Amino acid sequence: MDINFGMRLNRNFKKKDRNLNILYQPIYSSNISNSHLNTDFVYLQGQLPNSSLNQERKQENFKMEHNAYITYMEPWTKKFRTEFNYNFIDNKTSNNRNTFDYGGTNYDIFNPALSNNFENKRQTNKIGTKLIYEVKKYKVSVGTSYRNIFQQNINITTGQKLQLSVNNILPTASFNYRPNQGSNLSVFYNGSSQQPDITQMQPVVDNTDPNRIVIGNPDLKTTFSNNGSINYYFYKGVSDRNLYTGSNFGQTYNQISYATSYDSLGRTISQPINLDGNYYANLYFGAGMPLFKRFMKIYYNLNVSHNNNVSLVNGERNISQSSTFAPGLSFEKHTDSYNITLGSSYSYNVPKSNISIQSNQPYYSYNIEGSVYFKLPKKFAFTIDGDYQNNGNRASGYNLNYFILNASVSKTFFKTEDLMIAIIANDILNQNINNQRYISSNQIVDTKTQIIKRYFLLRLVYKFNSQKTKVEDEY
Amino acid sequence: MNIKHFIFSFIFMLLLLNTKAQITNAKITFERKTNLYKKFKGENQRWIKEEDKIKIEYFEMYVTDSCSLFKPQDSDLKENLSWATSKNTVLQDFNLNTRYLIKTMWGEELHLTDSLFKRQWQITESSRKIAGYACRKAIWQANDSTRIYAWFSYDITPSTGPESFNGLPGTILGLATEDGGVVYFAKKVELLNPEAKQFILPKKKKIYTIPELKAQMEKQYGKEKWFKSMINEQFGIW
Repeated sequence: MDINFGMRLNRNFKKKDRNLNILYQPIYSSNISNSHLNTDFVYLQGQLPNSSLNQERKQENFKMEHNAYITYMEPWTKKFRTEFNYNFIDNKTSNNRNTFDYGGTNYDIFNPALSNNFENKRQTNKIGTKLIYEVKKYKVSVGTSYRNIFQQNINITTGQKLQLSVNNILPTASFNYRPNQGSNLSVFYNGSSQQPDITQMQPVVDNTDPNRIVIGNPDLKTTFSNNGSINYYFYKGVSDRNLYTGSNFGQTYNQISYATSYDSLGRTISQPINLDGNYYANLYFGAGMPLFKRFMKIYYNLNVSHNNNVSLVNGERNISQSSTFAPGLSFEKHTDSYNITLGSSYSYNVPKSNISIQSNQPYYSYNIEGSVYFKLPKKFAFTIDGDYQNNGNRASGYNLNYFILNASVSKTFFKTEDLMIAIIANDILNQNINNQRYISSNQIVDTKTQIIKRYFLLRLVYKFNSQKTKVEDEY
Repeated sequence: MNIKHFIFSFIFMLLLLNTKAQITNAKITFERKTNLYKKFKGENQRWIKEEDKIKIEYFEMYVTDSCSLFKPQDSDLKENLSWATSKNTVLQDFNLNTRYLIKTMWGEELHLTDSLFKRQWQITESSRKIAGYACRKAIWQANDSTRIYAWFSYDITPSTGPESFNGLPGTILGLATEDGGVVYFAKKVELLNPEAKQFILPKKKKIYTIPELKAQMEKQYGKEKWFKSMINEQFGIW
């Protein structure tokens, strides 16, 4: 059961732009679940004797949280104003897990190693201020917050108590330039900090897979991240041109990452640790404009990104990087009686890991898609669209290329066109499939999944419209 | 004979002093009040608070007997509800019978040229004082559903006015739509000679003529429901 709601009070004062805003949100949730675990472990090379698990697990979770935000804005002059804000979060959760092994007739053998009963308490107090300078074309805002987070974790069964209190200073700054109604440049920076999950510090064993053991780290520190972004766009309605471009970037100190080690039998033991060296950056660009004296319109875009993640594998620093280069291009033509679109996008991905050379194989995918919409006489309409996907450079058997073709015929009735009946055919060539590639520090995983293929649909849409005229479609 | 001469000259002097000199050069400051609740009916009203209902903006007009320039007053303060109204710059040239218009439409600054907008005025008997000048009221039937009222002053002679208004026997010092939703009133008239460089506008590369722009928009959006009323609002009234 979940209950949550919010209450907000907003007060404007006599003095212009003086404003007080209070928000309070309580959240309550409780959850009881009962599950059975029935697993056989078979070691094909005899590394360990075969075994099996037959357990019942009862889990009770309960959460009560109070969130309060107060924001107060005070104008000093026509151009300067200050914002004061305070945020209070009080969070109490309890997790009670009881595991019973099968004792021949019933699940009645209590398993204390896989049972636990925790009570967690977490309180956040954050106070901050911002100075804002705003004129017709510029807005500059600089601010900082001081935050304290207090966490406590009590193990009811053993009586063990873990406590953590963290103080942070979190700065923020933004700049906005608006030369005219249709364009905007914004630059944004903020510092943020994340504390470790208290259960990451608690040695708790999850045996769902005895081949992967996770242990806790009581010395985990909080992270600190610097994040920035820049964005510029313009939109010209009469010339029918638009452009957007920007970049997001950031890095993290003491990122909570994992140290994984493999024992002689191939089992993994993982522990969370703090590591430096994580960063990311991406750049995006897109634009649209008319071509050949407004005969048709062209859109083009480009996304480039780079990620750097650090972890430890068998005690060695493993740096895994992933870079992507993805351009796209499309054309469209709209008239009263038909619409045509044709487009293509390409994505080239380069993963790199200093430990595992085998992961370092670039792979790509591209797609070509098009659609045609025709208005026919007697209020009929016909559409056809196709999407060809090509995936390359993957494990053999996973370089899947497929072409999805859909078509539909529809007719509207009445002067107001309130009734529409359509026959829709999806994936006429019966080729739909889902494939993904996932890369981690020392693994490349290619998956393919069966999903719904060819099917037909009869659709009826009736618009309840009290006006005597045709209601335009909203999209 | 001497006394008659003297009396005539005296009366002549009095008459001369009593009639205000005909003014041909001036800088006029206009205040425009727009009733946003009348402009945006229905859903959009919820974005506009009751105390922001009337938006007030300032414009300046430089008048000479050969041309006039109407433009928004510079201000570097943040504009509240900047999306709700738009401000045009209009340069009217009486000798060449042309106007140069800078207007922002759909997020883009457009530079347009056209001939002067000629209107059929009906001058009435009513009068009022605006900015210290006696003004006479005139009416223009803009279209089937609305009329525009204008108050012009005989004392300021150039036949011009705010936006693209002209054609009355004097400069227009007040303008109002029939429902009072948009009202321009002169607040201050300064008798000075505007410098020639005031009338030089920064020109853009792409300059449309108004008929050219209308034709291009007609080709693209002519079939849309909102097209006719949009064209009327942008080019047919102001």
